[in-house]
Amino acid sequence: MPDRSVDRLDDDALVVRACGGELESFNVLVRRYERRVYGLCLGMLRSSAAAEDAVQDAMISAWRALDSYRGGNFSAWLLKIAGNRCRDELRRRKRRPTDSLDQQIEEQGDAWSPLDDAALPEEAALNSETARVLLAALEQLPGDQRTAVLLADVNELSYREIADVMDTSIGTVKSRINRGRARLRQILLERGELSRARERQALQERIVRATRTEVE
Amino acid sequence: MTRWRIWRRAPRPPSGWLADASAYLDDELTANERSRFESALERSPELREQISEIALIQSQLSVLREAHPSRSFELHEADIAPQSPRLIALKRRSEPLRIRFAAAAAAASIAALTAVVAWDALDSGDAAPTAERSAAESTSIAPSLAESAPVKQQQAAALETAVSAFNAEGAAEEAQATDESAAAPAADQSKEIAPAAATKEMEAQQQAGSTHFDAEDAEAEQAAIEDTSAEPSQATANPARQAVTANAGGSDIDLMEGEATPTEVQGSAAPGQTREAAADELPTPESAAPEPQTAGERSATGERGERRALSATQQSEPPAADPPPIRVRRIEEPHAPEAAAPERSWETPLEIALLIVAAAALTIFAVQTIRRRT
Repeated sequence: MPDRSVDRLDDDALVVRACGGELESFNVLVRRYERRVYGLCLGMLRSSAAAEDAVQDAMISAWRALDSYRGGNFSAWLLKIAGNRCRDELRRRKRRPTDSLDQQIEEQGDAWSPLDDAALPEEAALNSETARVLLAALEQLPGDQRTAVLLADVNELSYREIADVMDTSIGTVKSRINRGRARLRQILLERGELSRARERQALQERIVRATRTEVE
Repeated sequence: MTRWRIWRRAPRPPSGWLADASAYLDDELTANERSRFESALERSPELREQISEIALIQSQLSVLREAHPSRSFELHEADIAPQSPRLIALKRRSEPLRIRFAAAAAAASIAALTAVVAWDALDSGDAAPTAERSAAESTSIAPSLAESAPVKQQQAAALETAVSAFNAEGAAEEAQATDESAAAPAADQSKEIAPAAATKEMEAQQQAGSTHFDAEDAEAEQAAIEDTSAEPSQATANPARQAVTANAGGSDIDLMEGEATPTEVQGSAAPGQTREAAADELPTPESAAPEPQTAGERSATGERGERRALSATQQSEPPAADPPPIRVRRIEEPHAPEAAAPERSWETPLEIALLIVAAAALTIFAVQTIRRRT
């Protein structure tokens, strides 16, 4: 029977136990942060299959490099490993550009399932459309700006944490996030997606409100 | 009274505030910055619109937060097990093409370099038998030289006798020269110069020990003797000429440079060889001396000296039967460095080029491997 007391330990204690060879302690950390890491990888790679591979590689690399963890923010350290893995993958893609069938399917939105099972079908469809548009726009950003925006908006890291993950200063992070968002806004405006996004948001709010009313 | 004018900073345009928009939305501004930004936000509807659009994008991006993977990323024992040698071999086999290409280039270059070096070594091994063969040829002369050793002293003595005869004849002819000056002025000139010069040069050559005979020089001597035989007074009574002429079809002996002294060359004549033949085989000053000398001087001196020698031998001894003639011919040394240099001229640059290619490929391979490992 699995030891549930481990789940209540904080990150540093789990890391210490994992350094002692306890794989279960490390798996608690994996469960705790895998969705964040996956969100970053998905935003950077725009493919769920590639993102999953990158997350798995990042977890294995993190386990092997646990001795080099010096404390602090474990999630930022894990996201840094995952970000490096994604950058390697993007460099590899640039060297050998291929048309992945999975990527083509995901661009059409068939393989995109970002919501939990509890989400409503209408809301899931709207979110899927929003995610498809945003991922296409994110791909137009420079890598540093894209990473900074994803770390700020998807992973909800502070500027200092983002600076730690990206090995840069807070001022640079601020600049990258601001430029990234401005560029993203420009892209969505040119494509007419911003007004549609506004409509989608309004529709989504209406759906949520109606659902709450039905529940009540 | 000085009037102080208060300069107020002009209000920033909305685009200027836009730099702080993201920080405002992320709550990363200080209290002062936030209050100033909010006051600017109240004044500028354009800035408000931009802020709302960025907030919309931010909320849309939060959709990605809801994304969940289709599988769990928990690690298992198999994921963290130490890699087996088979797996390491498989990974090595799946190394990038650049590393494999660099390794292949390094291996090919080293193999080519080894092949060239081995070929060079084999090539020099082929040269060794040639040198041994030359040495054997040169040593094959040794028995004949050894056989002729007892004769050497006899012929040296005969040579001295001939030289003294030259001198005596020269003195007698000089005495007669006053009487016969009107009859043969050209012959007197040669008789005045040749004996002393020939004797001195012969002695000098014996001391120097150089016997570098050349086939061309031998031919020139023979031609000179034949020229002298054209004179009717000497041609009929010149047995040495017959011997030298017969020498043309005789056997040859090849000597290495510096192997034989003049005395040895004299001694190398067959036991039955006459002194005339031995004298013919002596190196002439012009053929032995490498000093610059014009062809005319050389031929004139040679003619005079040989004419004297022939006349002396004619008077001293009767003509003998034809001995086995000996000709000395110079051959090239097998290991002359200037001859070996052109053969290696294409190998050394090739070896250097292969060495450079191998070193470069190995360096690339090492760098790529280290980068991949790290």
